[in-house]
Amino acid sequence: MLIKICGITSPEVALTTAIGGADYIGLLFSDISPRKVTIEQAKAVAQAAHVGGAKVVAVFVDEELAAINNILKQVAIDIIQLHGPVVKQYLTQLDRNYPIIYVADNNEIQPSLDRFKDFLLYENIALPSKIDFRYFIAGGISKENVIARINASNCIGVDLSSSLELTKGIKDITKILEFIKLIRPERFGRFGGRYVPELLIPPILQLQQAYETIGQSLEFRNELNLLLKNNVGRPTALTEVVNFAKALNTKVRIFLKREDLLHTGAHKINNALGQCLLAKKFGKTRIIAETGAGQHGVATATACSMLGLDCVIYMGQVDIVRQAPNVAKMKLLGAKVVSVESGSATLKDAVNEALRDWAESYDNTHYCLGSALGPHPFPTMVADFQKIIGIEAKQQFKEVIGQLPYAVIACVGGGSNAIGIFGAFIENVAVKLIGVEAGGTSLKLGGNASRFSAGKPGVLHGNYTYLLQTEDGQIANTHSISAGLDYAAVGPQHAYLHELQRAQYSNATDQEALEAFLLLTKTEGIIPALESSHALAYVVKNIQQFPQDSAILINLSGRGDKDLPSLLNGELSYVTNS
Amino acid sequence: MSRIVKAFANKAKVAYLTAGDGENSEQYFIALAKGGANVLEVGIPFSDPTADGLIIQKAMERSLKAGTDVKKVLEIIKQIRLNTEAAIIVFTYFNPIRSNLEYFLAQAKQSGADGVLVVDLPFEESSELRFLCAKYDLANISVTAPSTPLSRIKLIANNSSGFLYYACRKGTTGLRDELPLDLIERITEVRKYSSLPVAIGFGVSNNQMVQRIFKIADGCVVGSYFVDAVSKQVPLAQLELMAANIFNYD
Repeated sequence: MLIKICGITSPEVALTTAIGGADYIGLLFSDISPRKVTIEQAKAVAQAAHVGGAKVVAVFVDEELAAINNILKQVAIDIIQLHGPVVKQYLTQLDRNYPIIYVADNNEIQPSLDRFKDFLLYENIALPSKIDFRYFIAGGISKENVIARINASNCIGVDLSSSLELTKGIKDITKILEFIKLIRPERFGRFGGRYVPELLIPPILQLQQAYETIGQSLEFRNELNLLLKNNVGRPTALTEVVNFAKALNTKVRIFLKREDLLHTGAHKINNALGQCLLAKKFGKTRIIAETGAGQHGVATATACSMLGLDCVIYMGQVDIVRQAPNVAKMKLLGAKVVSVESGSATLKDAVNEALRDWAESYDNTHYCLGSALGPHPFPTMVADFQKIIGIEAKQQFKEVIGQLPYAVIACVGGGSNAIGIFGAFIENVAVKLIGVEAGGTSLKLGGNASRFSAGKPGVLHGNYTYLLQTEDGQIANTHSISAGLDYAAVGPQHAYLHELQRAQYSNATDQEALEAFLLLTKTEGIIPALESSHALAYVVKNIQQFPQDSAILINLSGRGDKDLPSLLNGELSYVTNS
Repeated sequence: MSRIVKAFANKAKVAYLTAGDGENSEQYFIALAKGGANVLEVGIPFSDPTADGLIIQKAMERSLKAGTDVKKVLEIIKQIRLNTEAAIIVFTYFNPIRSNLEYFLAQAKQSGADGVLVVDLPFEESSELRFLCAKYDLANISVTAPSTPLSRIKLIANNSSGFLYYACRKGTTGLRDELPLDLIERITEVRKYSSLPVAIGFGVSNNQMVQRIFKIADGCVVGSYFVDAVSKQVPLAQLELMAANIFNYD
């Protein structure tokens, strides 16, 4: 469903609206409109709209042909909208390189319109039974009726204007973003969606329904919260790492949110338990999951033992070797671990195999996806189950230092721990959100998992997001010392936060992560996961950027026990030999 | 489009291969056409084919390793078109064609393709594809599955063209010995909601299965069976014979 928002007058609103997911932004030039823009304003709004990825529509009502041509010459317009008899008479005289949006009235459609290029717009008139053109609907559309209006037509898009205003002529950006989310709940701005074979649509819709009903019920949430408290160890501690800060020679107060202290050793259990409990409630008896570092695999296997569900974990053969302790744990917990040898034999390939299993088994099986990515509703649901991290941390921060952190820093693979801790702070715009990707061994394609520096948007595993890919749209190989970050795509909400510039994304190399791992271990007696060590490494590297009197929050998403055998045989073999 | 109509007028014999798997890949398609296939599904290889089983996964891996890209596939289509009047359907995942969709479709049409099937674009994500297919006169072929609710079958059929591909079982592509037991029932339902011709596929690997499918549907799709043969480097004449035998209908 395309979204067109008309009557925008400021570049700031245009940029946020465009990044928020609007496909078209309409500019009004007529003197009779309270939303009229001057040519100079129009230039600025058009530029902002283009930066945000939207197309610009010039809406004409009563302008002279010369004035129209002047505007087209000066402003970067993509599409012309003709509204009313005065301007419609110019149709054949206009530069027809511009597609036209023709506001339909009860008169005949002009024959020079091209149904493969132009659009119609129906505003407040009954739709004819057969419409050959792509068309928008407009007029009297409200939050309450928009879905019904869309479903009652075969429109390609909706056109919104006055319903989104604070006062006449002034757009309300909160309302705009709410409206877009209402029309496209499966997306974060442009990102997300549901790109899966038709075969998987019914189980995904079934899951969505269960999540929106059972998953939102008080009874379910109470049961989940009780399990998280009694069986998993929530809330987790907030620890100030004074020695670590001293070693960095800084006065910045550094706090860790201790997800490493959770049962099974990482934040993954928050989501795994949430999904497995939900799956059990809607009648599934078997759970499948992918895992990279093995943390999500162990968490899922644990949730399955707790709840009496069968469990199969798909894991890349490369990861099985480098995360051996977790493989053993999963097997002890009663899960079947399937080694995936196709492709790069890492996380991406494990997801492929899990999706293949699900396509066959969904009658009795739930796919417990481990990160905030995949087809809708997974990114939303996983972020929801993980948001407890941020909610707790925010409360703890207020209690301990009486204010919010200057910055929140988290590592980003798929991005579930990061979205979990960011979630509670997104509304606090003064709090910097920093995601740290795997810089690997090189910034060339294949040497890292830095989607925001080496990737571009594309479709993998059911969602449209930033993706490491070749020129031909093939998914690139990735590299990271940390199996949990070694993945070609990033959760779609992170892609959105990146475009909005609400969060900034950086990276840390294998070597930097390893050094941070050692530093925290030595100074604080906390052995962090290699994944979380990337967030620590960012702070080590960039400590100068934080004001001396500030306090920052790092999500320590997991503990490093799982990494030890591999490290002690490799990078840290000197420890074994000394 | 008219080539598709013609193929479906009297039991469409639909054959799939991954383009660029094996040297002179076009020759394999041409051999299948000589053997009686009147719809050729030309698969664009993708690194992460989540709807495919092992046989097609391996074919895609080999094809990519040999350097096949979208441009090369279009070349292969051109070569096939020079040699046969069988309908050609481009069979692809979305990402390899996504970044320049309109250009790709225009090129596909020009190269001689008659239709497109994008495996991982369900109805809700495919409005641009549907529009562009109409613009370039390409059939926009959709898949329905055993689990697809009737209301959805109707929606999908009303918004597709060429034919409807009924994937007759759950899971991924591959070889199976038997057709599902509820096939006749399901096809009767599908036909109630769709005026398009219906082809059945997914796992079809012998002539008995093909014969049964032809009794109830307008076309039959055979994929992994041929891909498997190409992976074993069967001579062209033998591939042609395999097509003739499996599609044989009396």
